[in-house]
Amino acid sequence: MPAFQDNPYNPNPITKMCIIILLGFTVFHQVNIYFEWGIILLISFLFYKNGLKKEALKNAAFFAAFSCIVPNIGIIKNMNSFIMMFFIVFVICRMIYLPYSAGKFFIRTSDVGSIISSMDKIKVPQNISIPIAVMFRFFPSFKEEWKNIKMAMKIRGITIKTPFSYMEYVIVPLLVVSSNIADDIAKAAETRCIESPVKKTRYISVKIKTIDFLYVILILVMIIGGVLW
Amino acid sequence: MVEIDNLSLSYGNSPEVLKGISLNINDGECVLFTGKSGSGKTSIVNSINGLAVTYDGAAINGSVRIDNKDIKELKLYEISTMVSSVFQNPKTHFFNINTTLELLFYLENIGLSKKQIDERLKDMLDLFPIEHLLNRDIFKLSGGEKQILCIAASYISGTKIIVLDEPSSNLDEEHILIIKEMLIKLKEKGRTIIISEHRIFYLMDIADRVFLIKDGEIQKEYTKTDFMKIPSEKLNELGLRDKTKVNLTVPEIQNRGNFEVRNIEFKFSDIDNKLYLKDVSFEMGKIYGIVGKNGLGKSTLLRCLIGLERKSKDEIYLDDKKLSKSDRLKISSLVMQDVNHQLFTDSVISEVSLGIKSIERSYVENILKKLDLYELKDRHPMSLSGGQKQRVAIASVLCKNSKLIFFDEPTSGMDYYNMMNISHLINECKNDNKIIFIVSHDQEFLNSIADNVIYL
Repeated sequence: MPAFQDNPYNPNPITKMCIIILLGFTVFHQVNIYFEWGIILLISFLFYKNGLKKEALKNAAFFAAFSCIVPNIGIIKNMNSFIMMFFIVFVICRMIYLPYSAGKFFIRTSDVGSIISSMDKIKVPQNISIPIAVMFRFFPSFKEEWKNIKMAMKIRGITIKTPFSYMEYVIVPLLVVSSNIADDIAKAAETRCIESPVKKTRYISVKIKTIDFLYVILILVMIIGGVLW
Repeated sequence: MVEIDNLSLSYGNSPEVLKGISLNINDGECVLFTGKSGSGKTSIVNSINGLAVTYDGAAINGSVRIDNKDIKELKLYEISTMVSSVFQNPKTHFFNINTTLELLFYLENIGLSKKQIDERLKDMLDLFPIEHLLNRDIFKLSGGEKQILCIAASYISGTKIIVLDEPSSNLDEEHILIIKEMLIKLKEKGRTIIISEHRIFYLMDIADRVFLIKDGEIQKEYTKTDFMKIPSEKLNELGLRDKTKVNLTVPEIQNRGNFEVRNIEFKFSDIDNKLYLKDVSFEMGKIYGIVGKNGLGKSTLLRCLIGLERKSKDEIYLDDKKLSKSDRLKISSLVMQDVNHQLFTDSVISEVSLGIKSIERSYVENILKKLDLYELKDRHPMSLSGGQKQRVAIASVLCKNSKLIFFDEPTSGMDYYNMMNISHLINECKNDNKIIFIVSHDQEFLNSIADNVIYL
C-alpha cells in the first residue's frame, strides 16, 4: 500500500518559487519568441507529467493565442485610444504570461505540507511559512465556493452581461465566504498543532531531485539565450 | 479527566450563552450534550477544545480543567495535544489536500519520527480499514467519506479526549451508522468521547451519560437507561430528533404528471461513473424528495434539472414542450445548502426582489410578513442569523414565483423544532403551479413533508 507516492517529475516547491522569480525577469526584458515557446513547452510538459493534461494543453493554447493576437508595441501606439485600451489588456496578459504559468504550475502541483517543510529546510521562520501555507490552501477552497456563488447568480439572472451590477453583487458573498474559509483553514491548522514549537518531521521528505536541476538550468538557459539572441 | 467548574461563557456584549455549568467527565467515558439549536451545547464543546476563546472571541468565567491543567493557561496547540476535534461540517476540517498527508499532518507537527508515523498509520488501518480513502484528493471525497477521515484522524492523533460537534449533520443514514461503529471502536480503545448532537439515535449504544442543555444550563443529567425511557413526543418537545432510527415512509414516485424527464445523462469528469435518470414524470403541486447515499450525485442531479450543468445531456418536457437548459433556468429557483452563496444585496427587501422585473411592493411585503422577515426588511442579509438567512433565500424564491423550486439539504444540522418550521414554510410554498424538489438525507424531515420520493 503506497501511502503517498512521490512524482519524480514534480520539482521541489522552492525550485518552483525560484523559477517564478526568474521568469519575473521576462516581464521587463524581451525574450526571443522561440525561447519563450521553449519555456512554455517545458512547463506544459511538466503539467502533463504531473497528471494535469488539460492544463498542459491550455497553457500552450493560451500562449499561442496571446502571441498571435497581440501585435507589437509599435502598431498599438498608432491605434485610436479606445482600441488601444482594449489591446493593452492583452499586452499586459502577454507580458506576465510566463511567470503566471510557472505560478500556476506551482499552485496546482504543490501540497501544503511540502511547502512548509521545504521552507523549514531553508530556515524560513514559521511565522512566515505558516501564513504562506494557509494562503496556499485558500485557493482550492475558494475555487469550490466560487463555483457555488456563480451558480446562484446564474439562477438569479445576474450575468456578466451587466458587468457593473455583476461586480456589485458578487462582492458580498465573496467576502463573506472568503473570510469563512480563512477562519476554517486557520482553525484546522491550529487544532492540528501547527504552531507547536517542537521540530516537525516530514513524512515525505522534500529532496532535491534531478528534475529540480533540470528545471532551473533549462529555464536559465532559455532566459539568457532568449535575451542574448 | 475533564473537570468543568462553574463555567459561564458569553460572546461580546450579548447575554451569557452558558451559565454556571459544572460537571466531570471521567476517562474513557462517552458523554452526550443535547438540546435545541442555540441551547449552548456547541459552546460547551468549544470551550473544552479551546476554540470558543481563540476563534469565537468568547469570554469565559469559571474553569475547564483537563488532567488538572486549566485550559485558560494553555495555548491552542497545547490543548490540541490532549483533545482532538471533529467539526460539524467535515469540509472545514482539512488543512492538506491529500488525504494521507492530512491524516499524518498532526503527527508531523508533534514531531514523531517517520517510523513512529508508519506504526500509527498501520495501527489505525487495523482498527479502521480505510485504505481506499488514502492518497486521494480531499475535494473529491463525499461528505460522508470526509467525516470518516476526520474521525480516523482523531484516532491517529492519539489524544485521550475526542470532542465532536454534531458530526452527523451532513451525513446520510449509511454513513451515520459507519460513524457509529467507529465511535464504538474508539470507546473500546479507552478514548473519552464528548459529543454535542441533537440527532441522537445512533448514539444510544455509545453514550454513558446524557446532559440535556437548555438556555445555557444543564437542565437535567440522565444515565443512558433513564434517557431511553423518555417518550419520543417528549424528546420532540425538547427539540430533539427521535432516539430510534426513523425509516422513510414516503411512497415512491408515481410517474405521472406533465413535467417529464425523458432522459438525463451526466458523466462525472474524474470517475467512470454516470448519472442517469430516465422516463420519470413529476406532477404539479407535489413535493418530491430526492434521496440516495452521500456522493451519488444528488446535488448534481439538481443542477442538471435546473439547467446549470452545461455538460449534461437531457430531454425534459413540460406539457409536451421541450425545455432547453435556459428555459429551465428561467422557471427555476434554488435554496442552497449554504445560503451564504446566494445573498447578494445590502438589504432584505432588495434581496428578495433582485432580478425580478415589475414586482409589486405590496406583494413582496406580504411574503416578508408571512416569513417573519418584515421587521428585518432594511437589515443587511449577511448580518442575520443562519435561520433568518435561509428564510430570506426562501422569500426570494417565493417572489420569483418559479414553477420549479429546488431545495438542497435544507435541514442539515437542524434540530426538531427548526426542522418542523422549515417543513411548514415549504408547505406554504406548495401550490398547483409548482413542483418542489428536495434533496435530503433527513428521513424525519422527508416523512413530514414529501409526497413522493425518488431513489437515486
